[in-house]
Amino acid sequence: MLRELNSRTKVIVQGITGREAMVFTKDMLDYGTNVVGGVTPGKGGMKVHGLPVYDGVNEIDAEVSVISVPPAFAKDAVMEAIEAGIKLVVLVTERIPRKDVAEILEFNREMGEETKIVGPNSLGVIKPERVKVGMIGGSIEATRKAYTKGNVAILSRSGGMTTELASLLTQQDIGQSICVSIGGDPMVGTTFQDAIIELEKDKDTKGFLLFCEPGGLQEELLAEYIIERGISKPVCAFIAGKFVDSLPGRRFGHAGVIVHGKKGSVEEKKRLFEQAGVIVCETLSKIPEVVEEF
Amino acid sequence: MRLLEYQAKDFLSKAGFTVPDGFVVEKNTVERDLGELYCKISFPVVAKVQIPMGRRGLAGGVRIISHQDELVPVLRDMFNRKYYGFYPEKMLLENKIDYNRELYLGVTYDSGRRGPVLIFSLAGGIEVERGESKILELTTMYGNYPYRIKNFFIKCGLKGKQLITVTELARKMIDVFFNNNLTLLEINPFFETEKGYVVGDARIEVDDESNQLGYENEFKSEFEKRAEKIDSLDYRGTARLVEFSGDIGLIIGGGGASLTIFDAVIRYGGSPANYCEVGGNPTVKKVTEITKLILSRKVKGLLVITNVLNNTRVDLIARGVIKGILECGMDPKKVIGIFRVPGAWEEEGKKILAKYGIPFAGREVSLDEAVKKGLERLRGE
Repeated sequence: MLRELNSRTKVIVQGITGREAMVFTKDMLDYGTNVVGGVTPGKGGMKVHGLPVYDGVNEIDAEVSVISVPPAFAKDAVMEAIEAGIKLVVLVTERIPRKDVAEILEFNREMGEETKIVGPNSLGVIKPERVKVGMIGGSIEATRKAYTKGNVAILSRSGGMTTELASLLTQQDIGQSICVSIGGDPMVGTTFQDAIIELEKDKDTKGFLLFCEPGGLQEELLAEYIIERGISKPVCAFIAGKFVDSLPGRRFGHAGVIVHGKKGSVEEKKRLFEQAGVIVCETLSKIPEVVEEF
Repeated sequence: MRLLEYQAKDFLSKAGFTVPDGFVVEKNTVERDLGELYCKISFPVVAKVQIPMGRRGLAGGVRIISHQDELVPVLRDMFNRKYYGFYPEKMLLENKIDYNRELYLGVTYDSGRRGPVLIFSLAGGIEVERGESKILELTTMYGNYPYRIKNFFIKCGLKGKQLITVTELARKMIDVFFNNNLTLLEINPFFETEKGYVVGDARIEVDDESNQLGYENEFKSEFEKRAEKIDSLDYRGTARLVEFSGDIGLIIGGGGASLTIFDAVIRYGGSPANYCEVGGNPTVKKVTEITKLILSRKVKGLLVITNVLNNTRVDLIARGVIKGILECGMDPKKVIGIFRVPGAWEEEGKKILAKYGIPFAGREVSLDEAVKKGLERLRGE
């Protein structure tokens, strides 16, 4: 669904009456996203920016749902979206208990994994100058300043760094095909590997730029996948948080950023990436010259 | 949050697991507690430092004391050492356990498999580190299917009474794990003794988002406690800080950018006084207070750097930082090495900074360059 996403795709916002959601719904509309309505149980019949609000997801026809509800309600909201047949869920909510995330992913598997989940703790997905879902980029002026159309796909474990990297490329006139904030949690619905498998077939994407962090095994698994199966497009990675390697067991930033011994360390991720032929940049300033060659 | 060993054992004992008889002594009350101690403990006894780290044995943090006369001198010596950067405040004394075998049992979430897993080894933790352990993929409902757990252990080669007992222990661990919102429950070693299974050591981590266990994090510094108080001033925005021993104060954000910026500070020869993560549009008050907190320590100056912001207002950050510096009686122009915060309300932010003679750096200055420039300025280069 990341590949198919376009400015005609019907998008809804679960939790549309929330303070933050109202702001980013406006930003999405301004950017040209086809937002068709929202859902807040008990507030059916209301209007937000002229859009209808419903009590349930199945009352409205949509393919994508951006979910921005308090952490305690997130599990229920995502399951409702899955059952209603939503194709892509962008889960913006942060600080969802780990057990709830496990239950969400379990439920999605039981339902045949027809729904793709990006997040939790995702800023959203953007195809520059075409469509954006979620908070990514902020206001239309800010989004236009940072994101421009092109051929590099940015996948990032950090929401803020998604925009920073896009802006870094835009400054050098390098545009982006799609930027996905995959979320900073230890368990996410769409990993680097999932996104790359889907976007390898995307004709607009010529190569990938990844923003990685310590902790978890996503980078390691991606490296293994590339070593075993190969990949037809170049991958460039920046791995932040080298200093965390020397502080095992301590959490920095995102909940996922904990190194256990060698497991999840920057050193290990870098070693495997290099084995897989992924170009690892030591500084951010180095990135534009690498991805320019894509 | 990670529990200390003695907290984990207290918790597991209440949950129905067998733990060794033990006694916690505190650094300042060793002599006072001696009488009580001699009654409860029989020698040889194992002394273990209570710090939030594993591999304590390798660092000399686990010692066997075979005679009463050695107790006080050995404890004194252990309390005066640093292990992985931590001075222990408490020591757990336990009777030595005679065992036939050491098992490993763990329940955690696997970020690769995207779900909970049970990890088992008949040969203890060493095999787990080598990646040779057996893994059973769980669901949050698995406590309801003991037969599946049993079939896993059959595959692992268990038989007879051992099969039944280990299955029951694992099922109980799975229940405890889910019912208490743990993110890691590791019993290693799990001693197999004549009288049953005894928890040798346990590592428990509880989900920070749903922690209802009620154990205190004993290794939080005064600085970090004050930072948490500031963060809870109001619900808007977050400010998370961790203390380091350097002299460069950092007001940086958000999550991924903070890691990037911190690395860059070290790369360009700076020594950070703190880790920091501000974001989510914090109030001026919050930014003012963290600025004051960072300046309350001996620092050369501040680097104020964030990624291109999506929704945080630049002017509010500028106002907060300057107000904090002024309230400390310092000159913002001298204290701020660089202010690189591009995003919404940038023009307003620039105006505020200009009033105090501080140049604004925007998105055209990369995060690396910003750190480099800021450090140079603080060093007077």
